[in-house]
Amino acid sequence: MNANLTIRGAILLLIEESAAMGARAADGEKSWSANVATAVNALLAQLDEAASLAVGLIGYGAHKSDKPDAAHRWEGNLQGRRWVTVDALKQSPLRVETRIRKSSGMAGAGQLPGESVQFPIWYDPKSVNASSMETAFELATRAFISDLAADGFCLEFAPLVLHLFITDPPAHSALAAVSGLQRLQFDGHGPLLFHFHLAKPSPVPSKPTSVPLIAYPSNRAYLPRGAAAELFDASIRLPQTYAKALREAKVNVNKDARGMVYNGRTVDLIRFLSLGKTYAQTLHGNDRDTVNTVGSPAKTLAEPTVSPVITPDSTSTLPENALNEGVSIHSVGKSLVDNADNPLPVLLVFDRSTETSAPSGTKSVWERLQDRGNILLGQLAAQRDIPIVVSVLSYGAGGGDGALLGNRFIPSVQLEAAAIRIETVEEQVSNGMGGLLTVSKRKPVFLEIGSTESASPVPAFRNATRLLKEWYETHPSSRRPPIVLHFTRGKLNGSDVDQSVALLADGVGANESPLLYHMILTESPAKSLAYPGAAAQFDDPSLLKLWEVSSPLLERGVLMEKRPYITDTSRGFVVNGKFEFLLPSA
Amino acid sequence: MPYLREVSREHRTCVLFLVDQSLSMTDFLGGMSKRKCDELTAAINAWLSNMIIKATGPQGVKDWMDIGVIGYRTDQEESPIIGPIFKQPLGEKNLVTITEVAGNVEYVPVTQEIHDDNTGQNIENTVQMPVWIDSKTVFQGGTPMCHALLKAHEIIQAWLADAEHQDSFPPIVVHITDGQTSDGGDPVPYAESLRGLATTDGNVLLFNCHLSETPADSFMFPSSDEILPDKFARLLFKMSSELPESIYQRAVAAGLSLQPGARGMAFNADLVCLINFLDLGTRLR
Repeated sequence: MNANLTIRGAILLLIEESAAMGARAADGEKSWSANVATAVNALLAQLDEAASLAVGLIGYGAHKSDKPDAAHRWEGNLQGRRWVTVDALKQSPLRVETRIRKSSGMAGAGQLPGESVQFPIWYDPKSVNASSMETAFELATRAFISDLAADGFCLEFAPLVLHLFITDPPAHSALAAVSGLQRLQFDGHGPLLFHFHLAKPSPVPSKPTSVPLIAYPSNRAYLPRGAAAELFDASIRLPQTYAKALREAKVNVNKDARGMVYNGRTVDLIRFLSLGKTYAQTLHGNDRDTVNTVGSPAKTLAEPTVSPVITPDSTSTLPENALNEGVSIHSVGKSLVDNADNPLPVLLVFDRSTETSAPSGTKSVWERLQDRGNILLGQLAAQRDIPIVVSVLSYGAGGGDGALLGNRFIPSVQLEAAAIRIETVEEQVSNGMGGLLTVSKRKPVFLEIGSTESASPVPAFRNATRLLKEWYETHPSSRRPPIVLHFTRGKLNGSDVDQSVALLADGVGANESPLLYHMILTESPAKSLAYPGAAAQFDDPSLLKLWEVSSPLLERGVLMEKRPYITDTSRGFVVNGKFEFLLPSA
Repeated sequence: MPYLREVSREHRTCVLFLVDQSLSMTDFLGGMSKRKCDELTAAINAWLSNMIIKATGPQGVKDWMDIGVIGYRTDQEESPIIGPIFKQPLGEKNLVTITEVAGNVEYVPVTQEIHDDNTGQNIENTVQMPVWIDSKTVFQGGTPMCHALLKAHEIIQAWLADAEHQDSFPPIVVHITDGQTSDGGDPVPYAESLRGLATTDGNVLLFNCHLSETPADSFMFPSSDEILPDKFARLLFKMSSELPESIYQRAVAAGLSLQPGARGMAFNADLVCLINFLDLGTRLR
């Protein structure tokens, strides 16, 4: 080897090899270790031999004893090496297998046709005992500090590190584990460190995992507390080149997205590893400015930033009593509304309690309420008729652990950017001629929180009042009375309801009192009601109580002409149906 | 085991629609901006069109089905008005053959507005739509449901009297309404009597679909009345036949999550639910 070989870049693959990797992949029948090995071998095979690139492969797990260790994993003719050029890699696979690659086209019944391909193997699946992320990153750091030079390489640009793992590190340790590597500087720039966490399989093999995917998030506030949020802290912002490559692969990537995936499936892993090809292609360009985009985050890339570890004690944006009282305050971002727009504040308050388990195969009442909430938030995000700002609160026993943190209102035009993810769903719609069409629709997911036991709504409404007061204090020209829509299963204590309403009625700073509406889904079968106007329509005293404190429906005089079920005494109240008339007309 | 007979020219079957023509059917469907009556007539026209396509072979339309569309309402004196609502000349008879339906079609231009998610634009598209039930059909008066079920009984009984029909797949009666009966009776005994008619392959199937004008949550093919929200829903459940195994399996294959004992019933149906109900409830092949 040339003792002074200058290479443009380096890719380091860092792969967990613990026993957990032997688990079935979330979206298939093979183990994660097998799927990861196939994906890694495929990436290595796709690297251009002409690329000025060194590749390293570190696996970590307890191979020799119960003690976690980490080591370079090249085998066969490459055994003992730490860094290898792509050219050397291509000349020395461990073996070449004949595999069948599926392709679209005519085939026998029930089968996709396939063609035989030669598939080189450099890395075999491994799953041993315990692993330690800290040990892995220590070796990775050494790989750059000393091994590169010892192996005769001189690196021109910042390297790419792709970390694949399944075991969540101990709480508050992820940042510490990666900090040594992240402190390295390559001509003034840190490494591009991207993480991919593999999703745990569903307990029922025939069913896909129901664990939510978090792909390239852009705001820590919208992540569930715990491993995902800590991984966010341990990640860097995706440079433009990589964000663009992901968008071309039809992955939703917002501004300031981080290079991380949590609970990813195999299909997400393939897209993630393609960032290795993107890195190699960027190095291949002769244009120094283009090449510099890799190693020059200061120019076109965001500075790799690492957020401070956020502990429950340091969530200073939350009122101190909020966590104690089991209230989660959600916001979907910062308030950026121009006062002159006089937007309408809309506050959604979610009761996350359930009392009875849902029958097998059906959703609990909270899951159904959450679905309605997501649909409504999606509609609010899409509407452009009137300017509104939105905030979200939820409450339940056992402490708040919502998907959204913060306590601000956000303009509806910015809502979609705050979604945890955007799913594509198929929906049947009318074709206008008595038939149905199946169309694909984008469905943003804003809420993904667990259910709780019952809790009083009073703390949530106290915080609602505080949020609204702050809004009006900071937007003195805004005087439209806010709309508060309370999503609940309808089983609330009467005096708690009175207290909650009294808090709102005390005044929030608007010209008029807030409008309080209710969207109710019942746990047991109950008659659907849409904007009822009379107490006689109620059999259930709890629902009647909530109806009595609900505000009259805005614009009911106009709506009566189009909807016979709306009367001049209709209130903003829906049971077991859809809440169509939340906003006034433009 | 019943309900196994294949529908064919030798063993033709019968599908009879009972359509509520009361005034409330002119309200909007499921909180949408189109009227129940308009959406229903469009759905039935589309169903007829699909049935003709399914019945069409290299030698033309296979005559394996008799079809009736009977509307019911009251006049100003609250007397029931019950009869076919096909456009003429099909409206002369309670039941017509599928070949006759295929041979008497009128096409009207309909402009569809389709939203393109990719470009955010609305696209207008004019198509020629086959029509057998007129949009000018009268929707007025009350809901004489018991009388309508009695009429259905007469029509089906006469059809069954034909020896050629005795071994056929049993007739299916699809009843679509938006409200409770206004003729003072209890519709359950009338429904039971209708369901008591039979061929050698099984009893007549009575399926009931309730349309809602509010955006209420829908129920389709429930297996127990315990999950139904009110007395009227439970009444319709009692009136409805259990889905035969063949229809049940086809509904499951279409992606519906059904439990054993599922009945041919939909409650608070919106447009998508109505169209799926008509399709799955009559999917004989």
